[in-house]
Amino acid sequence: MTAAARRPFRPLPLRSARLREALRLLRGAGLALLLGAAVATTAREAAAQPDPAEGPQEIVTPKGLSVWLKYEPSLPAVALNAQFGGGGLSADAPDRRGASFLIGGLLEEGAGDLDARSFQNARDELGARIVYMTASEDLSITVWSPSEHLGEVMDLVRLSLASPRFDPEAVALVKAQSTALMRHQGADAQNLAEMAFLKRLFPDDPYSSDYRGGEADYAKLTREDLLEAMPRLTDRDRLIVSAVGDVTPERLAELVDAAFGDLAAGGARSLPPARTAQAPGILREIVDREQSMIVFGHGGIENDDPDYEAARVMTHVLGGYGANSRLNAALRDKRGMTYAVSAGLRSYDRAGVVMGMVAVANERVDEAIGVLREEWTRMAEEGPTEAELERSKRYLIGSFGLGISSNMGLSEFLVRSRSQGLGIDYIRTRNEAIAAVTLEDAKRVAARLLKPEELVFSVVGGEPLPAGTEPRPPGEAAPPP
Amino acid sequence: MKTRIPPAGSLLLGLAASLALGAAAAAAPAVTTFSLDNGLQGVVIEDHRAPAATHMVWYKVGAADEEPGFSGMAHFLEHLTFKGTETFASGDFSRIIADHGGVDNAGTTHEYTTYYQRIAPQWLPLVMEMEAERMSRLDVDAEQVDVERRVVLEERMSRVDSDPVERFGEEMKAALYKNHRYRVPAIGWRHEIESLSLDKAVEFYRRHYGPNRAVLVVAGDVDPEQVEAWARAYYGPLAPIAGERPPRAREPASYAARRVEMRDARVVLPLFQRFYATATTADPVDGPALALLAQILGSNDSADSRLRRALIEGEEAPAAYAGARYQGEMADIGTFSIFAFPKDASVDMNLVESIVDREIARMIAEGPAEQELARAKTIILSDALFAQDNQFNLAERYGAALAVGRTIEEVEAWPDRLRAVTPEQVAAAAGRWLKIERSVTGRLQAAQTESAP
Repeated sequence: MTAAARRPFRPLPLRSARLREALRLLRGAGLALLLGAAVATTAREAAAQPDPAEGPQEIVTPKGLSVWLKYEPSLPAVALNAQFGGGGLSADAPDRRGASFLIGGLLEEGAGDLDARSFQNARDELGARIVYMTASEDLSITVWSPSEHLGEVMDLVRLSLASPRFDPEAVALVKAQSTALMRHQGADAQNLAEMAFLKRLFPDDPYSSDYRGGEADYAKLTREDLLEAMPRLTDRDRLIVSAVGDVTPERLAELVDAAFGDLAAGGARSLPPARTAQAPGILREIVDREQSMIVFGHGGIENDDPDYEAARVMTHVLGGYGANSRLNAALRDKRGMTYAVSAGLRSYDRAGVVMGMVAVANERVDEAIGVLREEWTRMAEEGPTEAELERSKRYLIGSFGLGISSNMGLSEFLVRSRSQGLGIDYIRTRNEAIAAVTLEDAKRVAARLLKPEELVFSVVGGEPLPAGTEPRPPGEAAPPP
Repeated sequence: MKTRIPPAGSLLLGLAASLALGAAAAAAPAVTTFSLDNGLQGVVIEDHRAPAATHMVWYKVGAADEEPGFSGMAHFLEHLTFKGTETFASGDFSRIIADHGGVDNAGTTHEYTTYYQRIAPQWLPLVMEMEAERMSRLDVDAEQVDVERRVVLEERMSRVDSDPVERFGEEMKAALYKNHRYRVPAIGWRHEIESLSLDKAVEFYRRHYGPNRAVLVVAGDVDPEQVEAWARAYYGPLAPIAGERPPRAREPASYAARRVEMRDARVVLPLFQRFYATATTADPVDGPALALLAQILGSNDSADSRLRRALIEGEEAPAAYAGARYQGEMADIGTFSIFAFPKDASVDMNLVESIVDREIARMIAEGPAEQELARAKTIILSDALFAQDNQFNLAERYGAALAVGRTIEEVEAWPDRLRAVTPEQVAAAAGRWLKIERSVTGRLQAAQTESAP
């Protein structure tokens, strides 16, 4: 039925980031039984309609940290998101790529007097989750705790940041896991297509590099390298915190101060603004696959652009969630070429991109590129129709509340809004801003944003079969090269 | 209508003082059940934190109910149900839901086919009107069928054929089950998907879709009495379908350990796997014991996991990742699975397998330590509080359990059953079910470049 993006709709249980990766390696392995007729939602759009009367509040702690809190007493638990700006791309020292990524895996592997087992057992006995993850532009800590144990749980968080152990055994373990993961990523069509796309769009910028590194990078990294990177990765000045749940402002302020208040400030580095290159064309990497992944797009707009909401409404018509986008109609419903296609805005800290993704049979790659160009051009020239615009706005406004109906969903929304420089009232103003988008706005932004002549198509997959040949039956091995 | 207030603490544990989640126990969700004269079973889960609702219809029919030669039919039908009914045109369902700010989707497994919407609660009557159409008045636009079959083939390509690990899983399942349809992948074999027709899909629909084969779950900011009244109005008039679900082929006794060796040029990480056919969660003792066993043996995110200690930690550690999992929420047979990703192609698979065998033998002989078992209980039971944060997950939990034949009473008894498990019962369940002749062991490795088969 519906089709959409790349992210499975069903969220994985909140567990360690490495577990999430391991499960991704396994994908189904005959175990994942549920076949969605479609998958996906985009993080930005699965957000929320709160009661304005009970909006989140800002708390400034005695040590001067600012926290956004939505008090929600109906469950005896607290969801908390802490995010340090910076992340892998800026925190790794030159020639020390991958250090921040390893740290993300290592923060739960022991701290202070607690070795890895003691640390994790303590967490588990409190019925809590603490998930650390280094991304390209941040380090995030996601906490779920029964409210009665929040103090002990935040003390584990404090310990993990103040006194990480980086024991040799733990470092070896995380290096081995990261090596396996990155080897897998090195053969993953989607990852390869995306990295090639970013390299083309951001030559000479850190965005063209995979901050996660690989085996050769890890071989160089010592415990000292990891310790040395910590202040850049956990800069107090770059910390934002949100929480939703059964905790009073006073108590939360105290716990946030205890966990983060004594971290050093000023360590993070800032990178110069990034510029997207105009380098249109079709990039092709041949790997042994029966289907090709196509990542496509070009430079976009940043999320502080006055046209941002108009662009969101317009790109939703083009390639947004579900069965109703133009790209889905053209590629899936009309031609049966793909199971899922999506396109939309992607915001990086220093640049914006319009990009999309689709998987098609190898022999239909050229046809798919033709259709994508056609739809891109049609939207750029004509914009959406009045009916499409209204439909898109209705969806974006109405569905906002669904994603933030859980404590964790709301807390994630708050920290994400904040990291994008949006105000605490965005939760109220967001829908007003979307409602205010006019047809004229949408057409203007379509003409301004969508540039068919600048499209980059990054294709990773097998070679097209000669005309008239049947695809290989499943189970039959690839012919020798 | 029956309102159920679970006993305090039933969803969460009170365990020993050191492992306490005492106050959290007060938060058990308010669950209400009802049933209609035509056999539709209803469950309402209240969550009043935000103006959002989840509506799910679970049909007790899945890939395990397909006739031989027609694999993929349940899933193909799921796709086709979006292609028109007597009142709604092809594509209307998703379009109308989106127009009301909702999201919808569907899924098919061996056991069930499920359709859901997440939407503001005031639109539930509209959702029910559409789902009642899907339940009884399907009228597929024949022109859509060929295109949709291609979409499903692309789906199979994306999900399975482009990933050797998925294909390996299919081969493992085909070897684990000799007679039960669990041996056939839920998405279907490619050559059989290619020949699925609209006529046969409609026949399958008439045989399996109806109110007496469905479970309705509504969660969110709703009044249970109102939900029941709406359900009565929209689903109540539908006639039940005749007959019970046709019985499924059962597994015979098992006498041989099976092995699957697969090589694929695309493999970058070798994989060791073992699947055992086991009891389901319908077994009040072995079900929870197997769930705890999986946690103790191979929780992926606990440093306490025995497989982590044996396979991943230390100088000689042969694996990068290893874990165990119990899938017991099944109608007929559960699966206990173990996996390990060796660090690289040079690792001796025999070593990995011998360590796995040694850990299982040790568990059968000695059982878990008291503290280890207590911690595993805390982890599993604390998941219940986390699940409650998300109405969708909670609705899914009830829906999936009922769709495979568990009862509300069984769902609600699960925490107590889990809490009651002793170390001896874990050892006994391991001994009873983790028998090599009930299993398939598989190795997935890269094809040697020179001598590709």
